Amino acid sequence: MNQFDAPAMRLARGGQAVASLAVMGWKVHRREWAFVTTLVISAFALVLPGILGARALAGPNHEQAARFASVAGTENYLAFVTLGVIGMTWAGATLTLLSIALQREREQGTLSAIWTGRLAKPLLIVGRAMGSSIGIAVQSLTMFAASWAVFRFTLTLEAGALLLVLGASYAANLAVGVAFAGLVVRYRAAAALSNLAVVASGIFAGVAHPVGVLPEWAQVVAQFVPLTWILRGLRAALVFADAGEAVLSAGVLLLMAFAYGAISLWVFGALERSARRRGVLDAI
Amino acid sequence: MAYARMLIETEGLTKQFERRRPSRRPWDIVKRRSVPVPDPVVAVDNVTLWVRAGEVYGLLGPNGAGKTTMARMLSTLLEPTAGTARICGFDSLRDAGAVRARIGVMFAGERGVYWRLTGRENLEIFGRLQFMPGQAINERAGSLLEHLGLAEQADDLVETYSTGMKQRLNLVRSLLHDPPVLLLDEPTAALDPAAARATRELIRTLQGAGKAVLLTTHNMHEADEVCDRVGIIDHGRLVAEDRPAALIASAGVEPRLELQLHGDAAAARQILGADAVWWGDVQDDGGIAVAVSAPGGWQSADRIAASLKAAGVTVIESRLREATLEDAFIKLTGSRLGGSLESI
Repeated sequence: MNQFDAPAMRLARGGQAVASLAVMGWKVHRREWAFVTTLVISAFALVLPGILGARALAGPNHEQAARFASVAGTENYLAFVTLGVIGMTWAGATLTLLSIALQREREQGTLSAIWTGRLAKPLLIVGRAMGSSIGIAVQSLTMFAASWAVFRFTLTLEAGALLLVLGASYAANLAVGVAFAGLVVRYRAAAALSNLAVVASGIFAGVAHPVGVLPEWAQVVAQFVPLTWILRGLRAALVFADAGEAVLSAGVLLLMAFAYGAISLWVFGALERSARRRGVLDAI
Repeated sequence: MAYARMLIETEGLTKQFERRRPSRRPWDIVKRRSVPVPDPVVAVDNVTLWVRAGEVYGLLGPNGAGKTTMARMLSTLLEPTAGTARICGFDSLRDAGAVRARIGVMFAGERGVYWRLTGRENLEIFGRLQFMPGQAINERAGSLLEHLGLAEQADDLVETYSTGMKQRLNLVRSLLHDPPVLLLDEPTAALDPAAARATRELIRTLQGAGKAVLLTTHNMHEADEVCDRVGIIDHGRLVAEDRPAALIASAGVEPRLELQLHGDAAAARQILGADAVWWGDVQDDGGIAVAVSAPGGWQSADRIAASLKAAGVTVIESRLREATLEDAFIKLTGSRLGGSLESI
């Protein structure tokens, strides 16, 4: 036993290690000019097609906006779609970037170096995901600011509820992210799967459309997708001025974080062990 | 030494990998599916070894012998198929966390550090991952960077480092948290002679500080110079293990006499016998280069020289080379690192 082994000390040092990983992840991203440029440009490029598509459906003079409101509950389709794309980026890019980061760690040989450290592996994944999330947060804010500057859509603000939704959504994202990390650790090709998961969850959760337009079975599936509740929470706090609905969404997201987190930890543990057994953990 | 604690122990350690080949069934080809082949690859086969505190143990073997697989199992990155590996008494499978707290691992090559970070930033992050406080990281990193000649480049991005510098930084990373056990996979492979010497000196210092070091290497000279004991691994099996000098003696390898001759090649061949190793063609001027066993050292050399002279062959130059670890390795494994002997 050495001087760093006391439980309280271990906890504190673990927290510092997670924070260091997050900062390191952001530094690595930040030093890649192509990555930063892509973040900023794609921020607007991602949201624009959704907005223009919705605008076309609403008609040149918004004459069809009432029809949109009959299923979405609001005529403010610009804010509805913008928040949908931002929510999907926020939830999905963390998964995608985490997968890419882990794959890159494996290729540059740092995966084995960090794996022989003392930090519990799921926390290692959380720290790595947080590093990517800093970039995604910057991208989401850029996307929001750019969209608002161009289209000037109306927003309401339930600040407390919004913060609650953002916090709970992050916990739910990380919970799902740990399971995906396990897949990437076990199967090298799994990094590409994260994109599939992001797109599929976007369809179920209603990025540019209300969930009500989906077939009934898909609406049932949507209730189990964290992104559905992230979008509900964001729209409740910023479009519908419904703090209660936002808090409810945050609560569901926290429940999902616990439930999916427990499943993810189990899945991650099994996949990581399988990777160590088969010798693919650090194999390029 | 006799009562020093055993810090690395393996017992019957075995690792088999499933062998897979692309499937030939039409649908599997579409899906790029591979299928397992019945006989697995045995990368490490029933290896039992131990390393005490204050001891440097060299694991020697050609490429693919199982050295790195051993290091990966000891470092918890790979699960053994059978047998046990213990570090400071902790099982690498059941107590992986305790093992990780007690090992410093460096794998071969320039990988293992973040190229987009500076050397110092790398050490900061890896120190944190070993639960070190900031001040301890700075102090320890400063001293190690100084020792391995990286202090001036510590704040440069690693992507601007040479291969050797990256490898040295990798070594600093593995030593940063002052672990009692070090697993070093070819730590001098890409280093220039001066850096390799500094690294070997550092390993000797670590030995003096009571660390247990498992060093895998191709470099016989390095093993002979640095290791207290060496194990020769071939096709996954530990074929011999002892102190370098004892291994050379037990392998029954003899000193070699290297001769530069001039004269009748056929006569020389008759005297030197079938065991002589010849290299190069017989030169236009009748020059011949040859090496022969000289079990009695210079006495044998004198006797051979006298026989050659009597047959009209002139000895232009002779050099007696003592048996080395490489000779023992070749004898024990029947192979040479990177080539094969050509006997005439």
